Amino acid sequence: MDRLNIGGRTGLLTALVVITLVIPVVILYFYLGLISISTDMDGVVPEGFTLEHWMEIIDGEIPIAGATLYKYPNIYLVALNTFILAVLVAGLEVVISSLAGYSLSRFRFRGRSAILTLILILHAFPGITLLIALFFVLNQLGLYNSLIGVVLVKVALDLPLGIWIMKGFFDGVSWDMEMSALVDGCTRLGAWWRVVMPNVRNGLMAVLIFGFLSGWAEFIYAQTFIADQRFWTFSMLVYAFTTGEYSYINPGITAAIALLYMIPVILFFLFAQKYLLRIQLIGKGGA
Amino acid sequence: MMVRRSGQITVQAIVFLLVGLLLGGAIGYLAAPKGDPQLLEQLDEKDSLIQQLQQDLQEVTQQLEALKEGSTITITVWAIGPDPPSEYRFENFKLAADILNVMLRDLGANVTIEIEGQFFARPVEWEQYRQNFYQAFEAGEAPDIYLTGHEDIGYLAANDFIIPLDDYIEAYWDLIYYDFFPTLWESVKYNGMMWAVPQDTEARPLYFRKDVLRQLGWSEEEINSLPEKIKNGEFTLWDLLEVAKEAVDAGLVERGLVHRVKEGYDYLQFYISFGGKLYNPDTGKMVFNTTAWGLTLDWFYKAVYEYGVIHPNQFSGDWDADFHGPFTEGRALFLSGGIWHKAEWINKGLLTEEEFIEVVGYALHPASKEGGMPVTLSHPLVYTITTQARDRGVDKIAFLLITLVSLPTFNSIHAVQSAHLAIARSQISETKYAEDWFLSDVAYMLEYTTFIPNHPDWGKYSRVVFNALRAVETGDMTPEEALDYMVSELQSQIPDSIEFVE
Amino acid sequence: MSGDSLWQREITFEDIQRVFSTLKKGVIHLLRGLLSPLKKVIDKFGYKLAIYLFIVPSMGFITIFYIIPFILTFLIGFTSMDFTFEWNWIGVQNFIRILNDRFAPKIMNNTLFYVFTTLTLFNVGMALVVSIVTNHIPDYIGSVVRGIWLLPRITPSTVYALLWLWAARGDNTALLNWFLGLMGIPPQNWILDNPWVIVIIVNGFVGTSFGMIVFTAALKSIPEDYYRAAKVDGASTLDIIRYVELPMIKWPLLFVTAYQTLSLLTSFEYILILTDGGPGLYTTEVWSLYSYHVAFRAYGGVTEIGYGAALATVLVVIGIIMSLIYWRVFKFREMMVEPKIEV
Repeated sequence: MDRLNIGGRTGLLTALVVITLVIPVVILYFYLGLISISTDMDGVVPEGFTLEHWMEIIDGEIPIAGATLYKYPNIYLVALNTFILAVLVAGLEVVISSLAGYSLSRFRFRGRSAILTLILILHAFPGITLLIALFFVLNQLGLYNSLIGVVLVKVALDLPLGIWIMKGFFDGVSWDMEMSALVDGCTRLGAWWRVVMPNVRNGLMAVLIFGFLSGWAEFIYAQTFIADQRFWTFSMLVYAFTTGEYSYINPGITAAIALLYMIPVILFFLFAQKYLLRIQLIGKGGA
Repeated sequence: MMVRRSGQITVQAIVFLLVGLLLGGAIGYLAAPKGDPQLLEQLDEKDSLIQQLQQDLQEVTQQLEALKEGSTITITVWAIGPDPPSEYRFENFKLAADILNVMLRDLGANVTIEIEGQFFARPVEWEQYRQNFYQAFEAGEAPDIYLTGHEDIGYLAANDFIIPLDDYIEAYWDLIYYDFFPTLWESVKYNGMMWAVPQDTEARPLYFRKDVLRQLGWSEEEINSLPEKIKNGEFTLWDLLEVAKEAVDAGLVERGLVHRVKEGYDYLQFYISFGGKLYNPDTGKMVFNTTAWGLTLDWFYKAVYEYGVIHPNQFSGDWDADFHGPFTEGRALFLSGGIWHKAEWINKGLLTEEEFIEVVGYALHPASKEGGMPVTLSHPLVYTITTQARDRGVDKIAFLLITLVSLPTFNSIHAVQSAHLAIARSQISETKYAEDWFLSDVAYMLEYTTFIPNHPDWGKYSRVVFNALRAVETGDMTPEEALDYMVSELQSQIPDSIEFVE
Repeated sequence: MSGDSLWQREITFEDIQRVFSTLKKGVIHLLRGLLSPLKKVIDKFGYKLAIYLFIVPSMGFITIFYIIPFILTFLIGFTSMDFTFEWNWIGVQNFIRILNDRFAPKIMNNTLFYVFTTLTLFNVGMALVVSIVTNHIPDYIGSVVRGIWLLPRITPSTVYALLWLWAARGDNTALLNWFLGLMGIPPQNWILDNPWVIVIIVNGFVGTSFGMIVFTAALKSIPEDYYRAAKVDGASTLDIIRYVELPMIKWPLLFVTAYQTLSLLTSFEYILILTDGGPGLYTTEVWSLYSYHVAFRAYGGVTEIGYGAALATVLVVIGIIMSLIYWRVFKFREMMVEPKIEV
């Protein structure tokens, strides 16, 4: 669409504007990368370049300053934990949201509008206020200090959004298509699998990606509900560095680990933006 | 008439058959002798007894079999630094278990002791450590042995988290406990019973930078006699502020005095130095001395705003950037800390042993006025045994392990690596310990030390103190307002646990 | 077999066969009779059963992790629960304590200040700026810019906070100070001396993306003709912004403001990582963070879950009221903002 496209001399203006808008965000990430490969930073300029920080963490062990035996949990273990958390959250979210979304979209049953209203109200509600009670509930369920507990909490709090999105997508699949499949002799399940699902693939991808990123970046619930260091996720490891002086003593290693942690985020950013934006449109707001 | 040709089955025959059967059954049932109910009952009892015996026999057989194959007893231990060099608070259990297992094997007993659990180090701090413990306890997964500060004993004991250890200690008294410093036993008493075993203790000295003092023009002799002067009450808290101010004004340092950046107990020394008391053993209540607190708050306030030697945000800083860093890099003159900090600095590579000797001096915390008594504070950490351990039946074994790690051989590994003080008199001559010049140097401080009280509501008192001091430093409150805040807050929250004196 | 009475009748093999078949038929009829109501139920409700099966998992989750915690938060607020997890009912004492809490007014002030400032500067302000500006430059560049502004939100919180903590270090070698130094502003220790700046910037950067997307979608739905007409009338870019675009995003503006206010009111994750409520005495402490601290972080081991829950209840109540209002006001707008907009 031609919206007063600026070109020529004002092209410079455009460039300037774009740069001013983009730099505050982007520069920090470049800085992160820079730190991870510098020997020492003299102010904002690195003194030299090196790969030693990356080499040091290849075996996954990060020694803790001052102790001879005690170490931070192994990076590979931490990566595994984070991955499991993200995958479980994504998987559960997709399955449960699609089930609920489909039924809310297609079926008529008593309580449907009540549930719809509930979901609409809940999706703007900040789940973080329930932290204390959630802690209590998890304790009672015996899920204290487990990744599963965090997974369940995360899924539950993301569900209203997920259901709303999937319902929207199912709404967009016309009933006629499904009906003709049923008429042609498909069972209900068959129609669902063969006709409906392919059309909501976008929605499924969106929820999957959103769920994965949500679980990957999870911090506050993991921090509150997990005590055992063997279950640490990347977010808690980086937090340990931030508050535990490591980022002061050894910024190179800290930066390398933070970059490792950001890999899926960067990947998704580069290749799956349209799904992300779809989600964010209806997204839960907020900082 | 009824019977037809023989051999043919008629309806009539079938009916007769059925009726006959029914009648016969009924008569038989009614006529059969009933069992004597009493006898029947006894038979039932014997039956269940036999069953019970069989079960017990099975269990014992299983246990014996298990013993033949070898069984493992797992003990879970939680210990915290948060300073990383204190890892032997946990590791010692592994060492002790190893030796114990060798002994057991040689004795032919088919049991192995396994140690599980965690050592928590920075960035996990006391708050999180405690939270984890209570959460685990609620979930039924508390550790068997729980290291904590002795001040927790009041709360833990009053709420059934830990078990009293008097009998256990008595059983092993002659092994090592007789040799513990008597004052340490005071720190584990609550309600007349002993609830924990002391693990270590420390003193909290005032460190100072000798190189900065030299730059101020002090002679070597003056510098070396400073600890002595403090001990004699010749150098007071106000002198401290003066000297610090000199250094700051001369641009030699950025900060005159640095102290801990989170909630803790060091700063209570200043209150003690100003004449305050924390506990009344006669009434069992904690004590709030309004005059002493008034003076303490005033001193801190002046230190920040009149003398300019303490940074207003010192209580919310970062351990490295605002505490270790400035002092070890020579940008601060005084540091109010603990003896374990020496180990931390050297182990982290912030100072070498030579550098430490060259530029760092240490003394008690000064008195508040001429001729007064200097002070220091000790905060013994203690090993407790949880009630859940008792329920699991591993309490005795846990205590045995605790006794083992309390022996000088093991405790010294911890003491030397992390610079904490000995708990037993014989430990002082233990080789590793005796070789550490620093620890013997600071041993004298124990004569001037105080403990914080063992009271379930101590946490609330501590929190109020921290808030008040922090507010006074940041300037959010004046000393008068802060004193007012402390009094009103304590009166409303724990009126029965604290007494106010002038 | 004349003259035979029933008694005298022989029993033949066919008799036996007939008896058995009668029995069989009888049993089948019996079963059918017993089960037929069940079958009717399945026929009628089987359909519904399947439906409920679809919806039950999600409702289960929501009940356990949303509804029940809701109720629990209220209930725990009426106790003095600490880490012994005992339900010591103390009535409304906690709530009275909130009213008398010395620090509550300051923390409430902080919260309102934080919400208002971040909202106007970033969640709404910056979002507007980005969406309007990217609307006037070639679309392929515009979407890249918007994509970049999405980064802070999807970056894990601990990492993003760490980046800013590094940049905000006190010496003049840190990024922020170096940059400001270029403009002649002396270096500051941002976290210690001016913590709100960092807190607001970080939360703002993260929060901008929500408004940005909503506004962009709204802007893109403005019909081409408006622009053409305006250009024909000789309007400059600024005029177009003022008279064409801004009026069209009134509803989205209200929408974003409403949602982001609720979200900012209750968020504390970044503040926790950046300043932990400090430095100093509750300098940057917001209400939600205070509740967290009270319930989980007490040095002497004396935590107050009960009081923390009471504090959280205040937020929960506000949250519920606002959510209900949004539902009423935005119900139809919600329908409009469907998840099928291309970016």
